[in-house]
Amino acid sequence: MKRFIALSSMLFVCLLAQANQLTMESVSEQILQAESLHQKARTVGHGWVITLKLIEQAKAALADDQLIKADELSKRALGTALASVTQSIKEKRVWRSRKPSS
Amino acid sequence: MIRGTVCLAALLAGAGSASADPESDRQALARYFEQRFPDVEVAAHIDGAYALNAQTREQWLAMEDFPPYEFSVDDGEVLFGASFKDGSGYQDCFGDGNVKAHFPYFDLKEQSVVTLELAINDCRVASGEEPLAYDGEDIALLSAYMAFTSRDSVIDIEVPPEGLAAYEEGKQYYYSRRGQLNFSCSHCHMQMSGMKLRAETLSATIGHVTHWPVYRLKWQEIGPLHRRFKECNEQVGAEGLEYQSETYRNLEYFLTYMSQGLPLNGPASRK
Repeated sequence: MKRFIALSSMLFVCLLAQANQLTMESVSEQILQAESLHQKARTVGHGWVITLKLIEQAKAALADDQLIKADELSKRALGTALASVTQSIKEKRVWRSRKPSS
Repeated sequence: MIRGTVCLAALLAGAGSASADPESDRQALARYFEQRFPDVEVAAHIDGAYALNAQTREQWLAMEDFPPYEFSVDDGEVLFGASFKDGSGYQDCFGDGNVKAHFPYFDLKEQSVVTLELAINDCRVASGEEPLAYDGEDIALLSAYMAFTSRDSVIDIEVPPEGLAAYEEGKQYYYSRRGQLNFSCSHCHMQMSGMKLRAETLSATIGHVTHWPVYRLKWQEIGPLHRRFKECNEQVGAEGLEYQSETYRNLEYFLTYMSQGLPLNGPASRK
């Protein structure tokens, strides 16, 4: 029980520290980066539905002053946006391998 | 050295044109499905998944006794026969409506692909009418009627040299993975065709465009091919595009050439 309380306290302190490091500006910047990458994927037909959802959720959390939640969501948005751009770049190279050979 | 460079350039040019040869692509795709489904004639794929599963085909044929798109064809006929404000009408653009076999085509002046829906709106605008919404009911009804009058006509479209880039873009779109699920159209409709996705049998690429617009039980109404494109995109977690966007028109162009020579059998009903 003592160990549980100690671990919980450590986790609480860590979360508090993380919240202290986070600022509205840093999270907003992350959201902007995700939006920019998402737009890049979109222009070549590789936008993902999940990215837009995560961006909207992150913005809502930020507007609601839920910094930690907004940070998590924007990081996930950044991750999926990056994956969609990577997909678009890779597919430019490999799509031909899927068509039946003449 | 110069001769070597010239040879390499010639080889590369040859490779480029080989990759943009619609007829070779069509034949290769037909061979692929002949090998994959040796008991199914290529032309039978115009019935989609119902060509591949006897049980669901039986249910579908029973449904076709009283097809759910029948009223849409009737309503489309009324719209098709109505006059515009300037006294002209759709007949002035499309005759009796039996024109679908030659759509889509590549417009040399506009340098883009013209689908039947686009031509319907061009016809309206030329007569001073407002264009119809591509996701609206009227355009689906009109194209249902025109699909009906075009039934049994054989798809006969052309890809002129100027249209090759649009055709290639459509092809690239078809074979490219997209969305969070990382699927291309070809993954479902080539590699997995004939297999089950949940309770549904996946249809073959060939014949995909012959039967549109379609009354889908899921939609509870008749809808255009581009609605299905958008839905397919969203099912793999990709953002769907606008109906009649350049990308979807190019995709339709590619898919239609892949069904070149097959009879039209729209409108149709699907689950």
